[in-house]
Amino acid sequence: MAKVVEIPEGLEAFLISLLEKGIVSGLVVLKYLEESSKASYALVPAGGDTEGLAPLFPFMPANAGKVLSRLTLEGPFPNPIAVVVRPCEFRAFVELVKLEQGHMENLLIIGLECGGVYPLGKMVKENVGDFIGAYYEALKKGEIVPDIRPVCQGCDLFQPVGADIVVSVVGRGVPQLAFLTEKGLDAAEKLGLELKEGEVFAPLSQALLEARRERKGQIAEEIKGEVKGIEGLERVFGKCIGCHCCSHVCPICYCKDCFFESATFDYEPISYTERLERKGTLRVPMDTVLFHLGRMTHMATSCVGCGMCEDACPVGIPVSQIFKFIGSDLQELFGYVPGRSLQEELPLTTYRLEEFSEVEE
Amino acid sequence: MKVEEERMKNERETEGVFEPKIVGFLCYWCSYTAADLAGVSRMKYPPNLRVMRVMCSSRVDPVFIIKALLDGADGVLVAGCHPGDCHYQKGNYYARRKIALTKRLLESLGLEPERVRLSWIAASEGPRFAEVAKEFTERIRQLGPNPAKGALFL
Ligand code: FES
Repeated sequence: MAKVVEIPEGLEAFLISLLEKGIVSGLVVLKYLEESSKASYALVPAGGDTEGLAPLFPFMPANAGKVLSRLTLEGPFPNPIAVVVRPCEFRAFVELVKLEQGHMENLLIIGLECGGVYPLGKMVKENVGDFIGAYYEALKKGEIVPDIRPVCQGCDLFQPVGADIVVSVVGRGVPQLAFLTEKGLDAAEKLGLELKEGEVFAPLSQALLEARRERKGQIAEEIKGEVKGIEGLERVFGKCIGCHCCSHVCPICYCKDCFFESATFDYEPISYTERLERKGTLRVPMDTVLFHLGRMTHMATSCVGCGMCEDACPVGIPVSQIFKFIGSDLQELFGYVPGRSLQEELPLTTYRLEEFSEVEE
Repeated sequence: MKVEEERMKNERETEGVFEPKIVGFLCYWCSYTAADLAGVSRMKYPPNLRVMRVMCSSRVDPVFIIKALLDGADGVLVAGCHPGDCHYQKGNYYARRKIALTKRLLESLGLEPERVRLSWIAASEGPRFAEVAKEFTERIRQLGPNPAKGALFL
């Protein structure tokens, strides 16, 4: 149970009132571009242009965790800012803060119960009006929305964790806010909202959770079959063109000088000729598969499965599904859930004196 | 060692016996010294190990291991100081996590985690070094050649 209130006038109005009452000095939220079928993250100050806020628009032009990291890398905001984020975006931000790539202070976190987002390609190429109605219909019924990102279809972490205010939409005609922290309750009080006791999520949210879990299992099975063994790797990653877009849009891949773009992978001519003797044919440039597997070892313990990488891939490799599947295996190994808590240490920056004796031989 | 052994090995290879190529990352402060000791004490161990000296077992990024395997190494050995004895206090604890991660990754991808081995070998343990090299070579010989060897599009 929590303190909750329904918002028939919509989330946009709530956000604007936060600005108007001076509770926050700005918003980080999706905002429609000229036509209301595209949107971008925007930092909207008090007194700024609040026309066309799109907090619930199922579109992720960038993982907001990365956006927040860019905004707070050099230091925290001096004044309170409200941010509207999907769970995987917030979890990415938590990971980035742990990696010293952002600051959590002075943020009022408004977490969306997430119905998933559509692939960027679909949003850009198709007429959003044709399918957006079905999105909200499916959510009301607690069903998986068809055609959203595959990782979203199999996401069982769509209920926000760690947010000050949770926006619940699944299984509801009217969205509901739940105020879960001191900060959240304080904002509600300043707004003069009349809160009542209620559940944070509607019963149908549980139904969606079960459907999503089942889908997650199916995806894991499929992916496991697909990338199995050397032949699997060749088949799946063989078409990679080495553009590294997946890592550029990845919220966790924050390194400015990526190891895989370094001179480490510029070889002496002799090393090519030696390889040629062994292989007969050599794919050039080399190391495409190494890039993916190496990236997994570097970031998959923190992978939040947001799906940005897969959307960015020009040759249709199911990058995100693969990373999410491998990521959950690796996360399980360390009992780690990325973004669950700011206190939990990153698996590779800590250790226990007694552990993993099975790998000591 | 090794001229004689190398010659025998080459002979075996031409006879079609599988001779594994194993990459060994040995910590400078202990396992590398142990390998040296095994050498100067004229202990016998198979010549299949290509040794690379690292300053600490924790220096071995999982990428190094994967690189070796994708490039056709049949096995990868990482050896460092015993827990508690790392020259940098805790490097080998981190190394242990990295190896655990690497092995799980290989397993999840349907590759062969058995091709990776982590062992603690102190500077004084020349005989243990020879033993580890022998055992591991034997294990890899049983496993057969790394299937990545022939793959073109890796
Ligand atoms: S110095 Fe030998 S393992 Fe760290």
